[in-house]
Amino acid sequence: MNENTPKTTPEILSALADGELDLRENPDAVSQIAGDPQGVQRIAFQQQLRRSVASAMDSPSMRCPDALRAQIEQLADSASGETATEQPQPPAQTADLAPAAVQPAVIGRIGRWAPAAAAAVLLLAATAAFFSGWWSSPIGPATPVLDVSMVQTFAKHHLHCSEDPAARLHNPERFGQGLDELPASLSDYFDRSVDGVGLDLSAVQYDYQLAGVCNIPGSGAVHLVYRHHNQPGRAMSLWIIPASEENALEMQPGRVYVEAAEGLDHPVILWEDGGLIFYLVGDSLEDVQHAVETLHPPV
Amino acid sequence: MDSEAFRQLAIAEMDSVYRMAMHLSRHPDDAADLVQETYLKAFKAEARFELREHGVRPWLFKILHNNFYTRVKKNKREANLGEAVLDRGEMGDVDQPPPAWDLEHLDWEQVDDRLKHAIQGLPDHYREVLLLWAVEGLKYREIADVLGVALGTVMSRLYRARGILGEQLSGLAQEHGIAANTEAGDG
Repeated sequence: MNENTPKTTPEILSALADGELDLRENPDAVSQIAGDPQGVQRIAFQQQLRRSVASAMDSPSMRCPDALRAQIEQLADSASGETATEQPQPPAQTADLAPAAVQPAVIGRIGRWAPAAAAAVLLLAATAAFFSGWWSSPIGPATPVLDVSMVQTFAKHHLHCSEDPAARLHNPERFGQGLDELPASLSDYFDRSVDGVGLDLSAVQYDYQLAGVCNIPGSGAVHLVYRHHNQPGRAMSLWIIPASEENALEMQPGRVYVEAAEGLDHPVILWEDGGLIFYLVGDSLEDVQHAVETLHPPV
Repeated sequence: MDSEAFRQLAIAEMDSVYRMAMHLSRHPDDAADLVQETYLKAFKAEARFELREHGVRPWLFKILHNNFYTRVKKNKREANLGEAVLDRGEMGDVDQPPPAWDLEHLDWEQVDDRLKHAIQGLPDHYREVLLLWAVEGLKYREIADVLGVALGTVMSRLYRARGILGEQLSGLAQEHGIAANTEAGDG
């Protein structure tokens, strides 16, 4: 068989179950899954297999030895003349993306279809409901926008910077003392007006804390940190970067993209508005959804 | 992205890069050499790195992959042997759909050892795709980019790798009285 042109339906079904293909471009495959009495069980097996492979092939002996780590860090130091300060963190959970248009609350995804065998029956119902919603809604194809490692990067920086924003954000003095001063300072920083852009999350119990320059997702980004009004352990991060930035994503204005998956502790929702791209990261999908509805209400 | 930020991100991926190097080389000394080479090249080439929607990890994996196969070629090892064996059908018919076992009755704790053995027996091409997907959590198109192959190739290799593992684990399922349903059905 020519590997480059997989024609066998099982390969496509597997890819579809892995959340890698656009449902709307593969209606025949979707019908086949729906018509296969063992389809859910098959998918559940594949998903369990994935977790088992991950479990079997990772172990403490697979961690980078300290001596080697020190050598690499030395390499980095000699390359830069500086010492890297951030310690490695364990990888976050994997994630999938399904973009939702207009209605941020309509969040559909197929990436991790069958997390457990016990959930297989429930999954079937959920999947059917999702198909139905998918077909009838005006949302775009399930083309991933962010890759797993970027989601992990956002999560890592969200946790790291929200822990102690004053110490970890760069140049916070550029953005004033409070929310009132933020639009003017951001307008100045981005050299474009951000008047009218939603920045206030107090309606969803998150108080603005601090903003600073950030290298993620690009060198021109600003990272805003919010803290939950009643639960100081909960935080929200909003990154803003001009859409014209060299490395900025190409996004469709007016569309809200959701990066969420089971086991993903820090979902990312992103959108473009007024020539700026916004990345909102929080500690639960529910919180982030509510926040995005406040900042970027459906039109 | 400035150099310091790049290096911080790259260093944070060291466990993943080392783990993948171990899986590829199967020896701690070779893995350490591969990791060092990978980071040396990454730090030298950081100006060419674009964060964009990809993180730094797939980029490091790509360097690692190229380093590893350059070594393989130097050592005149036959990297495609496993593929050839598979094409002769010696590893089972993996064009069957994946099994549809009743997982509630399978003790996945017991699966670990057999699974590990089965994965280690996979042809390199399949093993690498499987590990990048299952262990490192990369998406198909990230894997395609790392390996420098078409997306369809990733799809095909991953499907086949899972098919082989399913076959290899069928003995365990049968021991537990679990029927591995490999009837084709519609899928």
